[in-house]
Amino acid sequence: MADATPPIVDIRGLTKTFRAAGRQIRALDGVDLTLAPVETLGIVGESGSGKSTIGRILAGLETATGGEIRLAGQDLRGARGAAAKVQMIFQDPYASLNPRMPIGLQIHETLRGSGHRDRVANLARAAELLARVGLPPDALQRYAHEFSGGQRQRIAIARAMSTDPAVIVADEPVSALDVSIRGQILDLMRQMKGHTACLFISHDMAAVASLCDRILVLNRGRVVETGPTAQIISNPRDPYTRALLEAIPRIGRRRTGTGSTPMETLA
Amino acid sequence: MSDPLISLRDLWVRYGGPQGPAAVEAVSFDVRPGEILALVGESGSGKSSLSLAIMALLPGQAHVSGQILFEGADLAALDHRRMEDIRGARIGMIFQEPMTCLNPVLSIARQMTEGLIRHRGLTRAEARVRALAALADVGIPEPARVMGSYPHELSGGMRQRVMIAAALTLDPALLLADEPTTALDVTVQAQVLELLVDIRNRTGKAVLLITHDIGAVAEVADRVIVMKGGRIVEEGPWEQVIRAPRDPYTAALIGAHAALEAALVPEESHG
Amino acid sequence: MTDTALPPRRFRLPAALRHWSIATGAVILAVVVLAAILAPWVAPYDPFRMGSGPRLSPPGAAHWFGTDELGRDLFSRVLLGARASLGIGLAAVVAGLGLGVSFGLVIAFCPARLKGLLLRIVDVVYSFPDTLLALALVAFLGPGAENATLAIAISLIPFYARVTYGLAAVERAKPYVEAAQIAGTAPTRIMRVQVLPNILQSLIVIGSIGFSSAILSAAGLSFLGLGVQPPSPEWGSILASGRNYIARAPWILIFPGLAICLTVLSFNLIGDGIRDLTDPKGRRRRG
Repeated sequence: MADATPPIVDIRGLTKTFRAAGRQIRALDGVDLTLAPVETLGIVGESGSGKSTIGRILAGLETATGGEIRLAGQDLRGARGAAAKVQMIFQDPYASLNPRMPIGLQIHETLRGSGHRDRVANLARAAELLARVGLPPDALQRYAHEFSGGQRQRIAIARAMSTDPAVIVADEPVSALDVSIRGQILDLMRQMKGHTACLFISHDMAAVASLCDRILVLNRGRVVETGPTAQIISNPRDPYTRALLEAIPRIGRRRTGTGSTPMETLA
Repeated sequence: MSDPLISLRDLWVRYGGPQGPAAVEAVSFDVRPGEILALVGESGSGKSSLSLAIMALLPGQAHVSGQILFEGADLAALDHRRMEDIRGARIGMIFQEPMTCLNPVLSIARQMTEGLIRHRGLTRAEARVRALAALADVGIPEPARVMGSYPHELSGGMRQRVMIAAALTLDPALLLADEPTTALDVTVQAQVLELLVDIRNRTGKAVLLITHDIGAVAEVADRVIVMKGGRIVEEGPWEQVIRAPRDPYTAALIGAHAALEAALVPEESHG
Repeated sequence: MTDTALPPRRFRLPAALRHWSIATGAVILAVVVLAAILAPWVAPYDPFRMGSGPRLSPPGAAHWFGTDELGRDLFSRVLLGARASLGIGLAAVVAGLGLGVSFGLVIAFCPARLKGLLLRIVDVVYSFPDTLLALALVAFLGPGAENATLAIAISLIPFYARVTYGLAAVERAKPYVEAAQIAGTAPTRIMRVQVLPNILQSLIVIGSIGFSSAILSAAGLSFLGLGVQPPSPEWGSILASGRNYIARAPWILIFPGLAICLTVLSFNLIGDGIRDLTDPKGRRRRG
């Protein structure tokens, strides 16, 4: 990628080790990643690939064991001021909103975190954002449980966009939703493109391919392949990428029951 | 056409009494021997209530009416004790999250042989042989080693295979697979689907596959039932339902999947 | 893909009062509280006047609960004693809950290592029985109603802190709190605005459990002469004064003892009932 504009996120040699049951587990093992301003990068991997950990480190929810992260040119380590530059959309639309706080106030709280203390102005901004993600005007005063899963994810998107972040980390934002809703939320995220950079983390290659400019495939904490979406889809070089693409259920293909034992049965 | 293995006749499931809101409304269908029947629907479609009704595992406040005819008995009217004999022994169950069915403190060997010893009266050694064979059958390498391990030591995919093997040891006539792939990684999902087809091909068991994933349905089902809001909206052979859906909801469901799938088709016009 | 979109369980008073154990507890408590408030007007005799009747006379028409060793009317003393017992309990619970909850919230938001250390400390202190702890503190502070209240309040802190920590730690791990963290909200504000409202209901239940323990401690301290000082009546101190006459005049022990029992029972009934109603696992329809 010979891009003239400097990347908004530049990650070099990111490592993260967890300690679980006395053992060291290497969640991330030297991950390099760049994200251009207003680019949407898909991070694809299965459970244990470390894909969520990258997002959580970038959002400041976890600290890296090693490596370097630059956000808009600044070292992220110890930089508390970076907070509002990154926002996050979570997988579980039920737990990502405070059940006892009206939606408007939740967006107000988010704005307040980055120094916007004027409650009236914040609520006005919240109303405008909620309208933009397709929610009725009275959503401002309502509580999370009054909304469907898809609507809650819209609210989460509005909240994430409220502070005009440089990067939005979307961690499996559509996996908990019904297929019919999934498409709507992906459409909404597509509309967001061009406003901010986005790290779209998912196990779902189809969702990633439909939204992202570039794809990075992660397996066991290592980057196995990265490239423009069209290239990864049409010409995957890594066998793991191919397996991921192959595995996606497709209308128009039938399973014969012969591929069920990839692990050879021992006599 | 062979006689149905299990028949649901005008089944209703209501919560909170006979007049309460219905989760399942007037549902009737048959599962025939040797077929994979897929029951597909989104959240709130009633498919989970239906699956629990068949297993008689609905919570106490649920009210079931109608018939579930299986091997000459009406499961909807059966008492608790007799249902226990059928559950597991005649109808094998595969759930979304294997960890909820596997006891974390018992070894795989113990869990797989217990049913055989109790339901079939086998000795421990005989049961062990059967369990080993079942594990090998579902494509688990080194089944002897897996037998000695505990659920938490296995990956999600392995656990799901173990659960399928455990369901098969008692040689049930029907496998009820309720969202068997939802909690798994994509690559493992594909393997489990292949495995279900393989089991049907080899043993001739019927599979009732309950899922939200229309893609999986298109890949493995012989017949498809689409549910929405507790009712059946469409039913038919897979070619017909998937290729030429008549109900607008089915069409929308397939359309939504196809739209996502389209992203995976390399664009020829590019480059 | 879950169908559960349950609203947060709200505690509604009318519905709660239909719950048998809350209703029973509330009725008993109402009687006790009413007695405490109206004591000066309802009491048939001056609770301090010696010789209101013959010494150690058994319960009868003139003296419903009998009289004590100085001829004071026991009914009047138990009534007025309710003020002291409930007052100390209330003050101690309010103070202990406030401090315990703050402490628990802070621990939940501490970095891992400091959290471990603070939790160990809380656990060590928590391992002492409430009353024993209060006793040690009063020995240090000196006897008297105010010091007893303070001691009981402090003795409740570890319990409240531990429970609050447990509740807050669960909330803290939820994405909505993480979202607030990412937004740059100060930890103290996250505790107050995001977490506290979501655990408040459970804390009220816990508060009511602490109440019964506080009243027992208050009675215990007064019984030992470290709490409310004679001649002021308090259930524990009445018990203490009556223990020498247990064979001749058991009513001096029976009535204040019964008052303590019923009050503690009422709080436990209410606490159990609220927990029953608000426990998401117990979400079942009655009737």
